[in-house]
Amino acid sequence: MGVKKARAGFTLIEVMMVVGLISLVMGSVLGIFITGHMAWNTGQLNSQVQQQARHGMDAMVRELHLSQHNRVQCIDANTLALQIPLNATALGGDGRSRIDIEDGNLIWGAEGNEGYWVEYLVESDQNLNRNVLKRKVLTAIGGAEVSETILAYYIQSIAFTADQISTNPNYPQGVKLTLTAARGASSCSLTTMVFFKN
Amino acid sequence: MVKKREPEMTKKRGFTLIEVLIASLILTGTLAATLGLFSQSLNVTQSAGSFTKAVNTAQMQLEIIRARIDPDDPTTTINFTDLNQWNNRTFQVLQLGDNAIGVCYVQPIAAPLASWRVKVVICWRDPVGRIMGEDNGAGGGTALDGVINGAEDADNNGELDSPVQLETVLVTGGV
Repeated sequence: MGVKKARAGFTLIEVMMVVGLISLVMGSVLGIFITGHMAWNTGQLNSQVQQQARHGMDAMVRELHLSQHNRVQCIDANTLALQIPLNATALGGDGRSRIDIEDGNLIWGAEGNEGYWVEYLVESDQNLNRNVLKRKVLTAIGGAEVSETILAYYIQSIAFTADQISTNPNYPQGVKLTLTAARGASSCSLTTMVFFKN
Repeated sequence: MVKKREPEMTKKRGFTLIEVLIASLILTGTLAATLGLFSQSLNVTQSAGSFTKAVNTAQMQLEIIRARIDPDDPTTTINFTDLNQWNNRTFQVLQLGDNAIGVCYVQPIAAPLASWRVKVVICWRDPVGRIMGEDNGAGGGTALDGVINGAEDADNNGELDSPVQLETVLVTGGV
């Protein structure tokens, strides 16, 4: 009897205390882990959103510079159509534009397709399940689509206004451009002004 | 028999409750300290966001000066020779609100070509409360007012400086 008593393992109380302590320690460790994970996610989200905002803005500003005051139309608050001199090969799909000069004159649209317009708009992409900023090349405003490129992800809205710019064609002409990128709780809003250089 | 075993039992006993508690306390403390790193990295991404917004606004301001917009009336333009009207002008940073101020410096360059040196500086208070740039109220100056006061001009170049400043030269006829 005595031997049996000495070899007895843990009492229920002891086991319960150990389980209680372990769950206490693991609980706090888990809490720290979860908080850390959330902080990591937020940080990643922030930098992603900022990067996309910067990228979308840069791409639009670069092309807008090449346009002309009478070749830009704000179709609605979230759609901007513009004409720039397009590189003919751009129509094949690489989406890049450059100034094409022939006889010292700019060719608006594309060579042989002078009615071509570029359109920037925010669309919800069904496959990616997120909002994207798209650049479309159209045969005319409201015309058939020639090519389509995604400029940036997580773009919530783009807005164009020309209200700060003079209507006098002798003055520099431009548009005010606001872009907001957002995903989850992160958002980044950028505003800039573009004056046309052609 | 029981009496004989007792000292052995005491010897072989594991940790006391106090010991375990202290150990778990230390463990929790150490892990909590690493949490500080996460919050620090969050602050860094937030201040990176402010940098992006500040650079974006500085670019916009440079565009405005380059387009020779009249500082007093944005619907008209001024002559190239009057661009120094922009000197010491302050402007708002739209995305950063009251926590930021921008200043323009336009100085003439005589040689080799009559031109303007244009510098756009943006100072701002980042989410942690630290002021980026020289307009930080050092030496009793007023922070974020776009003017050098107190000991704000740390490098004594007569202009406010900041991590976000863009500088360019405008030459006659360039728009």
